Amino acid sequence: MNRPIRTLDAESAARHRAGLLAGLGAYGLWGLLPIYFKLLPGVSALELVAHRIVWSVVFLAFVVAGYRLWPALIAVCRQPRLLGALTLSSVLIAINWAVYMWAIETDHIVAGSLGYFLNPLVNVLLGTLVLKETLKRGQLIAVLIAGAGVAILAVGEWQMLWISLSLAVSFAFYGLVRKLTPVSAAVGLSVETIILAPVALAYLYWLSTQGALMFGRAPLLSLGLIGTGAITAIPLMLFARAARSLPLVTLGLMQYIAPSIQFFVGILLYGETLSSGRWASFALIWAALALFVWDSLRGRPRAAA
Amino acid sequence: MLSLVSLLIGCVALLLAIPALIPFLGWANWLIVPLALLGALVGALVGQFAQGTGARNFCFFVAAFAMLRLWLGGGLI
Repeated sequence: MNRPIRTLDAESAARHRAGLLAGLGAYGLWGLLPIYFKLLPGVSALELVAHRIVWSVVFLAFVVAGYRLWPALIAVCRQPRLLGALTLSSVLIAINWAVYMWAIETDHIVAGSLGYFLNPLVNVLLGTLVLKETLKRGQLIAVLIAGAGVAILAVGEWQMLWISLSLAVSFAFYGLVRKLTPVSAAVGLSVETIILAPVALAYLYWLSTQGALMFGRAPLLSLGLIGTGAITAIPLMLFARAARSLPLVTLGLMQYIAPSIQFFVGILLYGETLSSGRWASFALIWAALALFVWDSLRGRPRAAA
Repeated sequence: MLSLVSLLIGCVALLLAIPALIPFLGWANWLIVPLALLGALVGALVGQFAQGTGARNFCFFVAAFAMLRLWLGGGLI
């Protein structure tokens, strides 16, 4: 039976609105993550990563059960090629998380945000080098401008440079591996965290034998550490929802929400300062992004009226 | 939209259900079970209007987990 066009339009508008809300929720939460981790004082970056992995396994187990993703999870585990790719991506995401937590712990939130501003441009570069995608002229200019921004950091801002670059590059390679691996976000992260869990548990056990484990010392702190699983799973589910109902262009533009929030959190909430060199670097990378976004929107076919 | 609310309620319930595994904290599940069921109810409302019952099922699993813990601890321990 055909439904009236108006109902379909209303449905699609509601779907789009829910997608926008989910996208805002996902990127907003990712942007606010530094505040959450700052609320867990005295926990080292590596212990935080270990907790994030272990508690994500627990939360994602319920997500996988609720969303009936077990068949997909088992299917992935039966394919050595997919399992190999996810092992590689799990190492990349572990490196990314460790650097990011370390950046937050050592008051380098702004450097972290720069890494995620750089990420789309590294993606383009990686697509050209690895996937042999053609670089459009606008994209090439954007990458060159961003390169100049990074080069400025190389003069006297080594710490910011390595944080930003390692975050951008590890996440770009992670994205590339995941792009080439046909596995959904929730199933992929579940497998990745399951692969990493033995190492994380061994590390937490070692910390406890050294008397250095922070988990269990204070009720609220422990609850906060368990919550690292939720704050990993929730944005991911929101993102998956947004990705289903939003066009890629909208999603692509929304990805700048997270580093923008992180930038302001670092500057306004935690009093991080920017030297003139850092400002110049940010200005160049933002200019590169503006050009990149304008170029992407310009080249996009117009939606049918 | 409601499925997101349902998912969030379920996550909060699960967040509380994990420490409630600790001995002598089992009584907390008396609060966690209704919370998870509220999440499931919100998730069930989604099913009335749109497809997808993942969030509702997620909350049901959390509620079942909390009920199991409650039963194991005799409702108190």
